[in-house]
Amino acid sequence: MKIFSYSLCIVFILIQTINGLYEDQIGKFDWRQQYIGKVKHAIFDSTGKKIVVGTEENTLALLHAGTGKIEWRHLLGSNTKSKITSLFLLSNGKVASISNIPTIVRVFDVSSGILQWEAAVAKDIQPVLCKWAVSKRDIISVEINPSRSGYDLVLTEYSSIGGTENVASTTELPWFTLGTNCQLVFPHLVCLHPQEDAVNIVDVRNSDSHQRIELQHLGITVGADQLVTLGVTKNFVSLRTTGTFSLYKITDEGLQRTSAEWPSETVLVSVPTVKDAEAQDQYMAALIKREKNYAVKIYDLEANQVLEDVSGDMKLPDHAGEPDLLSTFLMRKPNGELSYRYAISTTDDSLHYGSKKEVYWTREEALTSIVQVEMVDLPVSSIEASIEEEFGSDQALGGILGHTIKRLSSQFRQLLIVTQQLLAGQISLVRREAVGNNNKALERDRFGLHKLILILTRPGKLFAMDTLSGRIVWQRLLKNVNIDKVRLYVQRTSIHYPLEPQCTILAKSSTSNQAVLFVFHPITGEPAQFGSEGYVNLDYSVQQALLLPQNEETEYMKPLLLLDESAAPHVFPPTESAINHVVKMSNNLFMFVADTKSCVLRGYSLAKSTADHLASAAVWQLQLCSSSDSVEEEIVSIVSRHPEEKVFSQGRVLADRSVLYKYLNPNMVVVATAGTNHPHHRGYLNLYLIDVVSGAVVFSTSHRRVQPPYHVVYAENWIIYAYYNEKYRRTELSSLELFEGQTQSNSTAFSSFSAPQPLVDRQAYIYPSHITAMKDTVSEQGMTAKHILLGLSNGWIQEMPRAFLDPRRPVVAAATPEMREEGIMPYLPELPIPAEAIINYNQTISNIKSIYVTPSSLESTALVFACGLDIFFTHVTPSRTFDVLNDDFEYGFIALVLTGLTLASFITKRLAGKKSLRQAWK
Amino acid sequence: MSNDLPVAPTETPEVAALRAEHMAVHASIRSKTTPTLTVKENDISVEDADPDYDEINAAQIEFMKVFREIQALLGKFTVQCFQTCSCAVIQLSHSLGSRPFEPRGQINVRSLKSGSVNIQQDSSYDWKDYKEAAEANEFYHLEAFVKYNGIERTFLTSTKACLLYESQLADIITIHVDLLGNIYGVSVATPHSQQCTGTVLEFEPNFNTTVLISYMEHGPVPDVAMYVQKVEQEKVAKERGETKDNRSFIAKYWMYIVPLVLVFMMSGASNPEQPAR
Repeated sequence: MKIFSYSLCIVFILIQTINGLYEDQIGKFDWRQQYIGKVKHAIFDSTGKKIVVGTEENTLALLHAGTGKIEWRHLLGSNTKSKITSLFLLSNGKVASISNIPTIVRVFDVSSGILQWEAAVAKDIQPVLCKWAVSKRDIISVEINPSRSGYDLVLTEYSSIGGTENVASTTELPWFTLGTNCQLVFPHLVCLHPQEDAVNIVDVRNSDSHQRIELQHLGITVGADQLVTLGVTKNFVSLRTTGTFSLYKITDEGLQRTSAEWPSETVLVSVPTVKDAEAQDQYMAALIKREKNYAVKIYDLEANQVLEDVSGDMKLPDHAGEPDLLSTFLMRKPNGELSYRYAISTTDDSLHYGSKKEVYWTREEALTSIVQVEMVDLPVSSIEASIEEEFGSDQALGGILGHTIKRLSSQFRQLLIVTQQLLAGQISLVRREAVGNNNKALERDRFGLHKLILILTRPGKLFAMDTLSGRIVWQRLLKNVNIDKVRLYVQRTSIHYPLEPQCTILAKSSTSNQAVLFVFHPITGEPAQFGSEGYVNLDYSVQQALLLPQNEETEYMKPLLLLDESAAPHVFPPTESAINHVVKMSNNLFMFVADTKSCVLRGYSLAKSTADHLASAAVWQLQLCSSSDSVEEEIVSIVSRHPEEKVFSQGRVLADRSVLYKYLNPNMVVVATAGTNHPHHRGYLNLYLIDVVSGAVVFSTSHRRVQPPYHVVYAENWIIYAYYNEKYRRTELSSLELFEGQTQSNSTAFSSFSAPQPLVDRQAYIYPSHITAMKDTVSEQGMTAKHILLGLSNGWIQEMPRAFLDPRRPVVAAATPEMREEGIMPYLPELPIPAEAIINYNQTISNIKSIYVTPSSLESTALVFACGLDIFFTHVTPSRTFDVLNDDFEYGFIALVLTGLTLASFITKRLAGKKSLRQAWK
Repeated sequence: MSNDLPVAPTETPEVAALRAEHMAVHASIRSKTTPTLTVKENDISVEDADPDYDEINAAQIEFMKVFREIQALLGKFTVQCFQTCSCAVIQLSHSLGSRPFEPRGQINVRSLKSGSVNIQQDSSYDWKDYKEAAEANEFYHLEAFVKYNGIERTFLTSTKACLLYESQLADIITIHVDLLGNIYGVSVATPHSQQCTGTVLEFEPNFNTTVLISYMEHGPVPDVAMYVQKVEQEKVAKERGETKDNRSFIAKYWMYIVPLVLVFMMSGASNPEQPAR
């Protein structure tokens, strides 16, 4: 009975706090976009209508050449080290993909994407070199393994129909040395050692066929310090020196140079797929770099000439990088003319498909490697802008007359705008249109749900996306920056009309160790008036950056405080008002830096700063990790509270009407270090709560025998962290909550130097799934309940109420009325995953890497952006939509009822009057 | 097991000392019980033995009972340190504001596990220096050079000079130790009720220092055993059929009482009119 009542209680809470989605709400405010990752292998099928691609994200996919849409997609294993090394189209309409670590051969049907067979290749020793090829019937692997006398070559054949393995032969390679680059053009293996000036060729089926060809005989003269690189394109090998590029066909006699002249600007070559089998290997396509654009040249190898009428120029968009993969398809038009299609992958991770005329479509695969996301407010609409202008401007056009003129002109402008919009059809007279409307202007809406998502990606590409539709508004590729460590800062939002919004990207220069800032307008993507085209080169390298609060003096610009390698602070923008602002608050300004490898944390105070010279002084230093030799430890995460988080309530009201005050230290950060104890390879996780102003360690705890992934969420006065328990083989979530106690030490201001010691409540829970990302929801005023968003390895995002992870859930006591009043459930060790808590319903998000949450202007609603291989956007309402009417609210019905009631009251009043008159006459 | 430990919200020196003693006993119990485990299972060494072993738990619960009794009886309980090499030497040097660092003294930690320390120090600064620094709102910096187990580490910690000045040089130095016995931080603080008010009489510049050792705690573990036990107890109670209903009479039968009262009230409301007629 008790268990039943517990479960009833929990079900009740579930029903209260989690609201599932109705069927008609699907796609109303959420959208998903599917990606495949940076394309590493691309092959046109024999019809040229489909492209088989293998990507860096270990994904195999079939793209429709006409639209660029994904026909099917397979994630080949979740191991991050695993990569697709080779991809082959077999003659029978199948595709073979070979992944490494662990080596697995998989054969799929091209049209349906169904797996035909797979074979895992178990290896006793890691081969020095492993190359794959296909013949008519077999998939062939050539491995070079170290042996007692030198190196051995092992040839293995897999039947392409059933995958039966057949180890053919072992051959000794006396000439092979480490570092040699080999390419397999079946049945020949072509090898070139960078230090040697000769090419070795061996027939892998015949051990006696070794040939050594001097580079001079191949028509290549190599100067000192010049490197020759060996490449392979289907049945051809290419040799490239700094000034020359030459292509060879391999025969049993050796290398035969193709007589076509290849300019040294040739970037990439490819053997086009041709429809008819006879013309196979007859043509060659080359991508040649011109001054501004590229040229695609088609060579006829039999006639030894460039087909000038087929070849053409190619213009990639400005925001594309350098091409690094070319795949082509040649087709004969009905009138007999040849025409080509190309698929080009560029260094900005995008894939372009087009013909001689134009680029037909582009896939932005950089969105699979997102580094940082910020959601920014859109500018006010033009009507509101004219109102702002009327009241916001300080022009001294005083007097009644001046104001009247101002008012009239502003209203006239508003009228003009409305008529313009009516003419353009931007205002629809019918309300309640679908939210996924594409052609909406980039204007702020009433509830702040329409925003712009700024996305910074690993290849250094910046995107701005519309939250309503997921449309890319603008994109830009950062130039001359090192993209290892990039951060994006929103310095001024669009709220401060007429001041322009401004964002800044902090990165390292690609040529030196010094920092570069890129300043831009977040709505248009245009570079701001700083430096050269928005790029500001700093003459120091930055080790820490901090956005400071804004005020009227700094024109609502949040100054960016940068700490260089010698711990000297700098301010950007370096205006006088910003520096004065920093100096004014310098007594309370502290910064800290952490070295993740050595685990040294150091805090600095800026109290010594003057307007002429900003200075910092070290105030504390900790060294967290163990320095013992048998232990490897490093910092895995440093988490601080959301900078704009507001805490609505200072304490928790207990059942006896007393208050348990929260320990709300704004300067506290959570530092997690993880290590392995070497003798037994056992992992451990240490968690430190550190006050980064005073350097005091507020609390520290340790978990033994745990493994990554580690995720930490820190909000208000609680911390939730996830880890994998090695001993019990399960994911666990631990929860800490900090309280000051029944009295508050200082209710007006918090000082880290005289802070109280908190009470720490803690509890751990078992989570029955694997967590890949974790984040808490944020609301504008902090009144709405907090939920934890958990990204799971199966592509779900679960919304978990914080109450489930409350460390005060009592283990022993049964549900008492006091607990019920406080809303605390009795302890259950395992947390549930109810289906209605999955916010992405059936829209699976593959490989979730991170989740970002931004509050909207509606207190109840937060905007969620999840990314991984796919990207997904939705709204969450942790305490339900208490501040807006439901979607299905019947406006007509309520109006009808109201008018009906009003009418009825009038009629009855009249009738009653008549009746009383009649009564009086009686 | 960490849940059993007394968690002190505001640590007075007495509490801290008591706690340190308790930790020492606790550590000794662990080092006593674990070797028996290593015989049984080879791959568990003393250091890696998990804290949540049932044997340890049982032993610990037993120990805690005894320990609390003794504590209650004697009030104080002194323990010898079992661990031999957990000693550390901490050399302190300090500075006021941006002055150069001057040696302040030395803390000898005889045992990190038992928390027995002694401190020799003298304030190299004058009363006036503290007053000046406090008035200029400067920092008091303390640099700690720690030597233990052949490892040398330098830590830096600071507090507001005015807080130190107004507490008349009563400071608390906390040594942070992790579970592997590493010292990862040394921090200085003043009793937290201090505020910078600016009214202090002249005092002798002698430090009144409390040295605390803060140990890292074991993280929480899902308490499955307790939950299963609870469920089973309830099952047994249900089978016996004697779940005592100790609710009050009204709480038990309100669903019958309310309609009755309502019926009475309704009939009572219509009654008064009758005698009038």
